[in-house]
Amino acid sequence: MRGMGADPKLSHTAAMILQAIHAGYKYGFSIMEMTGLPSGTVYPAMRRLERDGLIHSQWERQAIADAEQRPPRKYYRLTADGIAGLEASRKRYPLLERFIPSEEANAK
Amino acid sequence: MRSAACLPFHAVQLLTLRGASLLVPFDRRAEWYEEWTSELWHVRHGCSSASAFSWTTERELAAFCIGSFQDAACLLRQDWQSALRSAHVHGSAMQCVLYLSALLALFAMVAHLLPGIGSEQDATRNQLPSGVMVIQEDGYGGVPSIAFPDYRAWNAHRQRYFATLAFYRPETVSPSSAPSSRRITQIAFASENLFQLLKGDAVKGAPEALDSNIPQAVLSRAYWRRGFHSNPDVIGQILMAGDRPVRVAAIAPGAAQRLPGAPDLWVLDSDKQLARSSHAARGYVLGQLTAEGEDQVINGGSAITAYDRAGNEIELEGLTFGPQTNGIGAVYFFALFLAILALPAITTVFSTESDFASHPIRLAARVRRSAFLGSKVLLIAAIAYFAGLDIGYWGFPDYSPTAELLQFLATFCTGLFGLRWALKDQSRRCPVCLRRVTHPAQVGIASCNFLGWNGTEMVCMGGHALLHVPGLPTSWFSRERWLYLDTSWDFLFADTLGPD
Repeated sequence: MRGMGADPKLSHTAAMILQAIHAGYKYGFSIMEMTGLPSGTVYPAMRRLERDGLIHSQWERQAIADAEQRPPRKYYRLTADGIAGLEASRKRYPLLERFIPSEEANAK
Repeated sequence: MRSAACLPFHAVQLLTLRGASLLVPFDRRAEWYEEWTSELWHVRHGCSSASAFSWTTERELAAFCIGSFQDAACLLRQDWQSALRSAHVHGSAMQCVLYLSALLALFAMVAHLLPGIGSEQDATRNQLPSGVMVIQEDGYGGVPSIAFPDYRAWNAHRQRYFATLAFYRPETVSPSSAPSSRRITQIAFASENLFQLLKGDAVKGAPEALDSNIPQAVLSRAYWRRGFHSNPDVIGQILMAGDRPVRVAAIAPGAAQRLPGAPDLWVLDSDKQLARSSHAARGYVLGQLTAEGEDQVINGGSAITAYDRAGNEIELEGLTFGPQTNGIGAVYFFALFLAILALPAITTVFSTESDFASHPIRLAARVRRSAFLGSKVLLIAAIAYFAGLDIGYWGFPDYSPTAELLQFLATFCTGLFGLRWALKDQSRRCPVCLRRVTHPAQVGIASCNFLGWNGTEMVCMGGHALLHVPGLPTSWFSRERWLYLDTSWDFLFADTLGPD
């Protein structure tokens, strides 16, 4: 695993995906829906973010999926490096938060 | 409930995902496929709440599935990058194999470009039929010695030891003004049956193209390759052999270039023409031995008794052709065999001992270590093959015994020192991760110690083991020794690649 820390040189796509995950869109299709990016962009970007240690994935428990009668989802969450990277990206892309409001912003 | 119209589309979508999954590295494939099929389900349900068939939905699903190829390619790229990174770790086994492979590719490429190697392979392939020999008068030592009238007289009578005889007379001609590669310096005037005797894989042209009053000629392989770049279209063309025009009828079999004189061009003349042109000159006679003749050669060596026109005995000696060249492969295997035999004389084959009793190395690591040594040995054997050819045939465009000797010596030396290096390198590699040990540290001084250990200590950068190399071999510490490092050493090593 390659830690990037708060490296500010994240692409706009990567920053959008981080912001979407931070905003509560935690699996691939929901991120696609939120960002409007195609699958061929979202999933490879998530692989790279995961490789760089900015996000972490985890499979949902089978029991939960069974209860909702659907296949289990693979959820993504930000790591500490991911949060730092997102903070740096927000300064670089100021409209990011307005485009995908985070949960805290929604709560306000 | 999914509409029946959706089912074929769904099958195609799953097939697309399955196809893309083939790009994903094997260890991640199952999970990748599971994630994408799960996402597909969510996409389908997100796109249309109703179960009815919709072209828009299917188009969106198809676009989603096509994106899976980009994701799979991304994972494949990551896998390659990771493999390359591990290969670039200083002293890693992969790096060593890559370097050896690059060296092998370089030598193989050079070997491909050297014309002498192709010529030697030709000569090996074109062995003459057994029992064909060059006949010369005893004591002439390789210079043309048979007068054409003698040959004619022998040919006119049934011979006891020879089934067929053929004659040729080499002649040096003054160089023409042609470019140096096409310049003919040596011509042989030969009887028309010479190449029937030699057989082999002569390249022949269409007979109708050769139907002409101009004398026919056969190009030597070496001249054909050198002057015409092996172009078969040269057959049928007219060349000047000295001041005579001749039509190229064929390309001589490779083995013909081993006949004494090694001419560039063979002019095939009738006996009548040869009698006119070669009356006073001497040449060589080729003979195909009968069974009785072969017995005579086996039992009595190569001396043959013949009779001249007056019925007097003349002593002849025969130079048997047989397989004069041993062939590239035979030279290589013999040199390599000698190198392996000589190896224990210059290095200790098993020079290390290990103290891994408390942490036995896993079977997989042991297999990997053996496979690595095997790969190195195979690569070095292959390098020795091509290096031997490159060095041997560097300055020889055709078959030459000197080239063969050089090939033998180069293969032997490369094989011997290459294998020695392989064993030495193996003894300097960590038994766990196969990386070379580094950071040599001198421990103790021989003159200051009494019954103490002194020598050099080296460490595996993966933090697996220490290698002790004794400075002065003693009865209690004579060989290099590995010492396993337990987990308490881990904090010293930031990079702990490889299994432990």
